Amino acid sequence: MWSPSEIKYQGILSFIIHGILSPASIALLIGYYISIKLYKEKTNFKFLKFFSFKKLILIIKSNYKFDELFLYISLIMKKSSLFFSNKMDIALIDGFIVNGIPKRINILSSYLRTISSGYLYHYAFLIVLSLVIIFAAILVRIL
Amino acid sequence: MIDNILSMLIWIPIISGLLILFYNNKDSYLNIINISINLFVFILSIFLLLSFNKNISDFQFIENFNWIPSLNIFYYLGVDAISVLLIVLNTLIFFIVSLYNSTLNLTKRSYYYASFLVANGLTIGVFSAIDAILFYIFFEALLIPMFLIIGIWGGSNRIYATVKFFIYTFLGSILLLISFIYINYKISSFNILTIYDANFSLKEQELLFIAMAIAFAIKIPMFPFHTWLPDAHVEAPTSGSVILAAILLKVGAYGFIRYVIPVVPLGALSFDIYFIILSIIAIVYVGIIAITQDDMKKLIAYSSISHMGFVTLGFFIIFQLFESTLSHEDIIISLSGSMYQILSHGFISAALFICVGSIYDRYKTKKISDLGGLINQMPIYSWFFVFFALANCGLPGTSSFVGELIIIISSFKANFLYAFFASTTLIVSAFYSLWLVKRVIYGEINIEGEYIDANSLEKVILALLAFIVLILGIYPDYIMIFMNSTLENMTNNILTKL
Repeated sequence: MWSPSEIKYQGILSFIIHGILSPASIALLIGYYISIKLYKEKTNFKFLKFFSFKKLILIIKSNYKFDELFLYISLIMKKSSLFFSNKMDIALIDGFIVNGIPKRINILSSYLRTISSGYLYHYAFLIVLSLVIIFAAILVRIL
Repeated sequence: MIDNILSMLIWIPIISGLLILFYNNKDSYLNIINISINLFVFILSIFLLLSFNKNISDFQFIENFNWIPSLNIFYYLGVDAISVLLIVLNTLIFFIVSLYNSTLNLTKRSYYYASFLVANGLTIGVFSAIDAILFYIFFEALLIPMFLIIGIWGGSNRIYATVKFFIYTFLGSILLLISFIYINYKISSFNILTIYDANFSLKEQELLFIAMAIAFAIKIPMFPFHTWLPDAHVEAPTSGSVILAAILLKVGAYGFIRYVIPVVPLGALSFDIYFIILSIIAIVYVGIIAITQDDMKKLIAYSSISHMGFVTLGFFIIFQLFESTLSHEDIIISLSGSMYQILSHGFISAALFICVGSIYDRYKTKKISDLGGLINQMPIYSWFFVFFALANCGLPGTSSFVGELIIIISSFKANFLYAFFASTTLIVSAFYSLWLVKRVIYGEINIEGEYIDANSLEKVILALLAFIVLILGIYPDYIMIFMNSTLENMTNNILTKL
């Protein structure tokens, strides 16, 4: 493999000639000639009729549609940001888990508090009911 | 060498903080006293940095005292390179905060200063404790001043934010305490050096890992334990936000590198993929959430979570690197990247919160939609704001670029997909940071009235932070070489256990 440092030019003249004869320089000269003819001397090149540059001009004029692409991506990013922020962080993590669990515990404890009615027969009934459930569970396991 | 330098670093700010409580709030010397104490502690930490022998990987400046013999608890202090760097970050940020606080009109000024001084000492305690219970005590006690700072001097919804912050972190701390008690039950020691040598079964390591990792994941915070941080930042006063972002989050990261990865590496290896995924979610998902935030503090808070995702990514890809490349060097580089990111984020987030605080102090708003066109009226302030916003994006030449680049390169070695998703942060963070700049600094002037540019003290603070961010960005080698020996030793310990 060669590297740029290995290229050796024999003097400044050969370096300049090599530079001028490069494809880029030739393309530049041809382009310059055509543009002088087209825009300054208003020459009508017949061979150019075969080409249509309208679409190309439109693409160049619209900055290769880069602005549209940027706006489109921005819109997607903003929409995703709002969705994640509202539905995931606020609604799911904070609303359902962090604040939701204490809320549900509060509701459950408020409901369970109503069981403590102060009537003795309510407590007696609950004790008997609990015993029945415990014995039923034991019986199910034995049988 | 000063004897008991670590105890001095811990107890000078704590004791002076407690003494300041009895000081007259209206005394003009209060600011000078507060700044002097913080400056003294900072100078002491610089002395620690300069006296530290970076070629020795063991803990240095050891102080050992049998504190509670019946419970096997020691007052055991010592530092390695990681601790020293974090202590210097801590003392510098507290010094900067003390300068910033002197410009504020506060009620109960002495209490406010006392809270910060106590927090300063406790954080140094966290970074220098070698005994697990001593670490836990400092770790937990740190909640008290932070709770007071947000709860007393915070915004209108401060009670909700403080309770949420306290419950979240306290829940994690319980799991951490249970883990330490179990470790002591198995090996009869809370000494971290003994714990490093202990061999736990795979099942034990997995359970210990889950408990400790949740505790520190809440503190960092990692997705999905992150929702306390934006609320805490929004409600906290500016100085509180600076400490939260620059110091408190680093305590979580320090916990991972000190107590989780070296103690239970097999447990970490079992769950590394889940933590890598959570880190990537934090980087991408939380970064996207930051885009549409209207509160500047909330935006920076989400940005902090996203950037701390890089830290945890760097910590957990070491196990994948171990499996894929088997290279010792790669693991050290990944850990160095995470440590660098910790330091870098400390300075950048502190600067950004000070910028936001300066706006709030003048115009009593943090809302992006209320602001605009600040460049016309506050050119110097705007320059700093743009600089730190660009540093937040990871602009080459700034400190965050180094940390993020190292972690992206490391993750590329582990798995192309990790690197791909981690790299998206460059787009996402540029999006929210530059959009923030566009709306706040450029555009039409929205606020009527007199605009006041950055005052001399603000210029000094922001210039100092900008200088550090640039120096760390241009010449990262000093920090890298400083940490190398410690990280090499840590990597050896981890690899021998795997």
